[in-house]
Formats: sequence, structure tokens, C-alpha cells
Amino acid sequence: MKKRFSETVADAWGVPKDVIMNIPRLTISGDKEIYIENHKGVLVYTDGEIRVSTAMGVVRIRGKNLVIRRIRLEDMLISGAFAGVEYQT
Amino acid sequence: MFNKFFQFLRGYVIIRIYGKGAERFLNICVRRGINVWNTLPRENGIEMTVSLNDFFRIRSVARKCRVKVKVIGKRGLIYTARSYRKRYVFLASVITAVILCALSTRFIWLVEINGVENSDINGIVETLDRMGVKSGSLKSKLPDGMTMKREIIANTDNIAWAWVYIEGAKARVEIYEQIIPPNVIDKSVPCDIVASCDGVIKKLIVKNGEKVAKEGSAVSAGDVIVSGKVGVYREEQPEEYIYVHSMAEAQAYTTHTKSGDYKLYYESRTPTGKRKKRVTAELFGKAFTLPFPKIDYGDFDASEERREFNVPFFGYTGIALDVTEYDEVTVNREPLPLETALEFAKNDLEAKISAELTPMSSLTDENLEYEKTDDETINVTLRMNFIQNIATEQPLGGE
Repeated sequence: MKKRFSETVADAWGVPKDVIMNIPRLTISGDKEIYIENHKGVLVYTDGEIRVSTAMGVVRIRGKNLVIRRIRLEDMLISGAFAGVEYQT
Repeated sequence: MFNKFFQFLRGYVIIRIYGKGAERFLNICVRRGINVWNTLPRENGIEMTVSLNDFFRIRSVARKCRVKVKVIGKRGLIYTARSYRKRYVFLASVITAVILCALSTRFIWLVEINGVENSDINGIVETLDRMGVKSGSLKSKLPDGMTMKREIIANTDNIAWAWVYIEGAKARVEIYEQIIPPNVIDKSVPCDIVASCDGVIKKLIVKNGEKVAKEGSAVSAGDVIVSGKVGVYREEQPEEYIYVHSMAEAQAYTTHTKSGDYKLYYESRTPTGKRKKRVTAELFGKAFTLPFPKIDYGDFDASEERREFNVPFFGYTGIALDVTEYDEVTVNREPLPLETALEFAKNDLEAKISAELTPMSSLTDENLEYEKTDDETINVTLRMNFIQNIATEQPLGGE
């Protein structure tokens, strides 16, 4: 797979890729809370599934009682009982 | 908490978005800087909360996304005020209550004194009363802080520092007591050395004064061991006396005995889970205890909790509730082995004897005896023998 220029720069300079490439950063706290930075919006929002658009594709979160507790332009906080997190590119 | 309070002040609307473009609606709102929170997935849509100002900006978003918007609820100060606008009596009551609260905090309704352990608390209360720091007095008539501090320190012994803090309708008096130094007689003052307790003198080292007791002699508490009145004898001169500050160390064999009654069982208190609360309302310095509920428990543990009604920016308003909780308990008597009861008694009696000892006392022998006074009680006697310094200074004249 061919590397993108920004990825090459990030590798060469040792800079975190999410800073240069605008790729999402997910912080998962146990199975109760997910904090997503650099998202591009919500695609699907139901009780059992949330799909979030990002620069590297769609992040699918499965679980129960899923709630977007806070959403802003650059980040969102999702809580609930998670069953899985998938990347759909 | 603060966030919710300001949200309430600004006002907010809870809306439900129906249609296939609900997620798109959410994304556009975020992109346009419309603050949304409490987003919850619902059937055929999303429920969310938007501020009152932003609510008027969502119409164009809804049109663009082809969704239906339904208002579920409106919250905030403006809506609450609108719903109460024609309830004049309620409005008048609220205004009266606010005025009463504001007025009540112009008076002192409670005086709280902290930090008094050895000083005369009645004297402090009298001093405060004289200055007007008492329930029902007007705060504006109080003297300034430095005057109150001076008065308290001047009228009460052994007070190092004091200050009266006015917190709403409460006057909190903080007292710091002096640490009283041990009573040591000045070296220039003549004194005797007397026995602090009964004993037989083992060794007597006299540094100053005239020896009265001898090694091996028995002395009782208060007997003079070394006298500060020293005779001066000169040939062909009448007998004269000089008075000195006696100094001596008198090591003596002493016996200390203590006894007491101890039970051969212990009582365990198990809560039954039943609990009753009795409330005492304190209104502007007067306490009113509610006559109910009736506390009809045989055995109970009681605990008190005080809840003061404070208003922001005013502080204590003079209204407080003292809630006493009564927890019913069952008291069970468990038999105690004799050895355990004796060990407990010994520890207790040792602590009592050690309070009478002088520093550097050394134990030579001890004896523990007991006798049963009834089936559940024993009388325990602890006798402890020590070698200790029994010399204590006493001003001449036996004061």
C-alpha cells in the first residue's frame, strides 16, 4: 500500500499521525465511554449502533444504551455498554 | 451544577427530530456552532436539547435536512416566571420570604464559641453579652473586631487570641488558649522538699537544704524530706536560720493500689434497622422540638445532625434544623472468659496508676487479685511496687 506524503513526513519526523494526517483518535475508557477526536459527523445514531464518519473511513460502535453525551465540531463523547468497535474503510 | 444553573438562566428547549435526515441535522447543527447536548436516540429520530437563542437558528437546518421538529419541553427562568406571572399570592410570598431572609441576616441569631477547653466559658459568654454579641442583637451595633478581641482577652484568663467572625446571622467566636507552663517555683524562692506519695526512702541526694528524713525511713505524702530552713551555728552566737531553695532527689520504694468492679460479660449493640427522626426547628434563636414521632424504643443509639439554612451572599439566616436520628438496637450480653476480664481490668487499672506516677519510675513488682462479688461481677485489685523519685518542691509554710 502506497504511503501518503503526510504519513511519510509523520514517520520521518516522529510526529503523531493524528496531528498531521487528521486521522481520528479514539480513547476508550473500559466498556463505558469512548472519546473520539477528529470526527467528521454522525452517520447513524440508534440505541444499539453509532456510526461516525472520519478521515480514514467509518467507525462503527456497537453496544447497548448508546448515547452521545456531548458533540462538538472536533470531538464527541459516547457512553453506554459497548460490545465492539469496528473500522469500515 | 453551575453549568446547569446558567443553562436554566439562559433557557433551553428540548426537541425531537423526526425523519431520515436526523443525523444530518445533528451534524449541520454542530458545524454551524449550534450548541446541542443531551442527544438521545429515539424511535424514528433523535431527541436533543438546544439553548433558547439557538432554537431560532434550527429552522433553516430542519428545512435543509427535511426533518420534522417537535418541541418536547421548554425550560428556563423565563418560562418558569411566565407560568407564575398571575399567581400574585405566590409572588408576594416569595418576595416577602426574600425580604425576611435579607432582614434576618442583619441580626445575630446564633453565637458559636469554639476552642474553649480549660477557660471559663461563662465568663466569655458574659463578656460577649456585654458587647452585644448575643441572639437578637443588631449586627450594625456591634463594636469592631479589635475591640471585641481586646475585651475577651482582658476579661478572661489564659486566652492567647480571640476573634469574632460574623457569618450571616451567626457569630463564630474562635478562642485560642494559652499553654499554661508547669508550676515551677522560682530558684530564688525558699522551699521545702516534700514527699509526693507514701514510701520508704531508698536513696536521698540533697543538693541544697537540710536533710530531715533519712534513708530507710518511711514517709507519708506531704512529709518534709528536706527543709529549706537551714540552721547556722557559730560559737558564742545565738542560733540563726537562713532560708534556701531546697533541691534534692529522693528515690523511694512506693506502692500504688487501685481496684474496681468489672463485669464478666460484654454488651454488643446490634441495629434492628428501625430508625426514627425527630426534628427540632431553630428559628431566630428559639428552638421548637416537634412532639412526634414518639420514641418508644427500649434501647437506641442517637446521633444529631444540624442543617443550617444559608442564602448565597447573606450566609446563615437564623433558621436551622437539628435532626436527631434514633436507631433501635438490641443489646446482647455475651459471656466473657475470666482471663479476658482480668486482662481488661489490669489494663484499665494500670492506666489509672500510671496517671499518679512521676517520670522515670521503675516497676519492681506487681500483684493482681480478684474476688467474685456476684455471678456476673468481679472485684479486681492491682498492687504495683515502684522505685520512684518522690521529691516535690513546696513553698515554705506548706502551701
